Amino acid sequence: MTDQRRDRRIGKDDDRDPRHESRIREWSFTLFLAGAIAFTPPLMMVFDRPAMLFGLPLLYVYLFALWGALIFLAARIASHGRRHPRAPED
Amino acid sequence: MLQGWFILTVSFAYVGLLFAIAYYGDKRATEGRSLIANSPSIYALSIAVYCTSWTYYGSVGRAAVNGLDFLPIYLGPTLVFLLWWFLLRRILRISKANHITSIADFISSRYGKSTMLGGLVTVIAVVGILPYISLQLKAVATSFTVLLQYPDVVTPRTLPEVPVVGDLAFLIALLMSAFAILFGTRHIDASEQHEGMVVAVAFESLVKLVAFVAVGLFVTYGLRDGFGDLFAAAARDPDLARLLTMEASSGYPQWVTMTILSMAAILCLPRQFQVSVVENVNPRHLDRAVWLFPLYLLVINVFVLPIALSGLLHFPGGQVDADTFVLTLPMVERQEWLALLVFVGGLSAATGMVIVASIALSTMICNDLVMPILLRMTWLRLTEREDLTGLLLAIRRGAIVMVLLLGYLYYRFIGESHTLVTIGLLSFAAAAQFAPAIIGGIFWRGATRIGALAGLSLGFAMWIYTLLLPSFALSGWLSEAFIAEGPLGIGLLKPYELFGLDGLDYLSHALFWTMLFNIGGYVLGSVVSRQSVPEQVQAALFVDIHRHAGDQPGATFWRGTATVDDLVDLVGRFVGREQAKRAIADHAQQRNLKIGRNREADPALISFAERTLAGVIGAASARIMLHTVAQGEVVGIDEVMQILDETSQLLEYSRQLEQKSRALEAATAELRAANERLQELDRMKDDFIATVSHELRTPLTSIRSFGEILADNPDLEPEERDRFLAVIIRESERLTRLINEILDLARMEAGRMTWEMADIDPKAAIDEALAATASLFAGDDIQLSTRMPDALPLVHADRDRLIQVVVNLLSNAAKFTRGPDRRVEFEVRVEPGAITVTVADNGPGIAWGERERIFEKFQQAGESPTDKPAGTGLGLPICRQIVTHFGGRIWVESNPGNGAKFHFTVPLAGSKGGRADGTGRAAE
Repeated sequence: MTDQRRDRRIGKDDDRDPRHESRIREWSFTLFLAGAIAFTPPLMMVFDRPAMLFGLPLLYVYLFALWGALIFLAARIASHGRRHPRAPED
Repeated sequence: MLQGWFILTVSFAYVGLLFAIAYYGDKRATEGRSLIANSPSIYALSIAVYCTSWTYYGSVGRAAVNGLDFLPIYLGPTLVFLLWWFLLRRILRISKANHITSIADFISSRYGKSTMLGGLVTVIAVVGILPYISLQLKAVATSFTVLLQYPDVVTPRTLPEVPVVGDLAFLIALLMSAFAILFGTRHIDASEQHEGMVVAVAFESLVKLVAFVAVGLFVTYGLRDGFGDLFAAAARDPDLARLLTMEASSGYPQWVTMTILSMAAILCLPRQFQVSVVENVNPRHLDRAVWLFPLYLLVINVFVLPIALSGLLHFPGGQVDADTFVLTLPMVERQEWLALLVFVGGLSAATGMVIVASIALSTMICNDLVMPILLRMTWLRLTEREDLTGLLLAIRRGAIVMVLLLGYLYYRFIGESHTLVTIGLLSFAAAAQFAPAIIGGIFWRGATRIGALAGLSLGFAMWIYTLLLPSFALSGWLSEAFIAEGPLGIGLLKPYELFGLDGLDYLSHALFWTMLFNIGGYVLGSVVSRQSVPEQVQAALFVDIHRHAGDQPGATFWRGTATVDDLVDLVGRFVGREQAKRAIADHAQQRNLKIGRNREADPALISFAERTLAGVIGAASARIMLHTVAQGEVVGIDEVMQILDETSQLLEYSRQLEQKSRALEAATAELRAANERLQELDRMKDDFIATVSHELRTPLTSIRSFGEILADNPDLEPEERDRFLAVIIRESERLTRLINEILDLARMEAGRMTWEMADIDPKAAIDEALAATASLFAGDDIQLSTRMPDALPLVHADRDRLIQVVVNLLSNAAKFTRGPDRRVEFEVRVEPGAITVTVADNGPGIAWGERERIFEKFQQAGESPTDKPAGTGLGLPICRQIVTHFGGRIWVESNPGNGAKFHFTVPLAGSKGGRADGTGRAAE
């Protein structure tokens, strides 16, 4: 790819409405912090017990459910504020 | 059915399919209908090259022993992707703006395009990643051997060793190097992007996911009635129930350690950097990868624990290696096709990693290790060669073959003795050494090359000592005593308990020491060293990327002289002449420039050429090459800082503003002082007028009174009349003298005095003054002692004024002598550059606080309302004016009660002590 095409693409990355950028920045950091706290002791220790929830080990459910929730939220905010959220890459 | 030949055929068919996909991807790219340009999902899937056979086989093995301990390796990357806005997005934009081709290039670019740093990173990467590559080969070989025994399930360790030629690992290594050479180094491209390879890797990610999930579904829903049933069965077995909590794990410290290591790995592993940064064609794709890649990780991990539990339930007593459960479970259930699918999935996990890692490493070895060295060997005359593309390709291809062969050798001689996870963590810890230099590099502007070099080399040294050497010892290459007793039996140096630090697992222990030395070296080194100019430029480009993203970075930093033709030649040698011409023409068109062949290239064009080159051979080499044609220098730091960014300009403005406001404050203070001084002067003027009026009125009053007496009494005695007339005459003289003095002083102060400055003999003037005052001393019976050399050198002065000063001082002294023994001493000394005249009396002296005041107008020592004024109060101020005008100095020494000593100096004729600088030079 030539240099010009690439430079244009960098420019294209900025089609995000700048007003949304600070929202995304806050969310990005919040999700990271939430994950970092949830996936490490001491919070993890709370769920570290030989109990079952819906027939599944409590710690297993806790880790995967939280993991899934973080991914869901990240998906919701990642393309936030794109002027053409679905175009043209799809 | 699962004969050796059949499995081999399937393997080759699969690899053949990969070749076809990669070929198709490349073909579409050259046709301009890129497969990946508009597909963020392919980008996200290619990042899933993170999941290697370690994930595929090793996670289950780990889960079977340590329960949930396999998870942090995937939680860490998820966390990093959640933080994408700060890290990945930033790194991506920096890399795109600077044409970064590898992680070594990134670090070397950030720290002033340092070749030494790029080389160091490359060495660390190669040494650190080799075990990882060997791990993939080992996994393929093991799975092949296990599958070959179908339907028997045998632990691979009990099998006889396969000769090298029939060794599948070796064949795979050869095939993968062929793939990497074909699709990784087919041609030299300015962007270092390999679309075919990316598409193939994304396809492999799908295959391994499908295969692994298929096994998961099979054990959960085929062998059991879903998750609940499987977990319930496990919970009934106390040995298995331990795996459902952290009880069986290696503990929380290692959990945290592995999270941190994997966070570093997802950024710093060369292959991850390759797929997520270098191969990225559109930064917007990150939007999808942010959630799709973590989702991929989640899905592939959901079934790890179920498969492990299922395996343990099926093969109690550990007769089967847990690393092979994924494969042996379908085998023991006689699911031929599933087993084959699993094998292919494992193959794809391994080959994907090997391909990307070898391409990434070969780029680094070529651009950051070999080329800089070759370019510096001037006798090779490489910089003058016509076409270097062939050389570049040869180096890269050689590097790929070398990396894979070394990986194979490592597997043959060392790798056999470790589990998959142990080897993988070794590599993770090595890659983590880059994290401080990268993260520090994009946030901390002051980080220096020296700091990065110190941190990396110290961290790497500690990695070798706490992880690599012990792993050699465990494989029997070193004596076991190295671990148990330390080198030479020194307990403090035990590699797993360094400096007596015990109680940590080996991994946390290693992470602590490597990071302590790495970050410590990095920070300390950066703090004590200074950045060179190129370092400062690069640091600003990297740290302030959000300000520079749109424009042409570095455009203004070259001030070189090169013709357009030179640049086309230079770039053409690396990317082909036609392509170079086109690129430069495109660039010129975009900027509406007309380019003549021999015209001088402007700095922006030189920068463009440099960046294009950097995309091929790395930033450090590109700069060396460019120096051969553009005899430029980087512009001065002040200019750079000014041009560079708005922040420093803003800072500059605010600094100036502060300076101005400080200056303003100072000016205000000065004004206030001046105002006070003015008020003081005003008061003094009032005082002066009051005093002058008073001084004038005194003689006038007596003249008038005596005049009236004479007028009113015409019949006064003649003696009486004469006495009164004498008084009138004396008072008139005093009045005249007073007015003369006031006029003199006013003229002097206003600078309107006419001076007759000449080189005169001071002795004559002083003698005249002594003669004029002689009657004064004789009349009052004062003893005057005079000490003066017989001859005095010439001085530069006004003769009459000099006499006036001496007379003034002598008459003053005569007035103030007291007591029965009235003495005045007069002395003249010759000193270097000046003569000093001293007049001393034995009067009451002058108090300390009055020594300056007496030189002011109408101020007399010991003045009090009752004292009768002994003079006009203008003599000393006039003396000071005169002496100062001569360039000399007048001052008084006195001990109250012991008389006063007046000194003044007059500069010698021709000496430098003229009036210009004479005021301050007289000796104290």
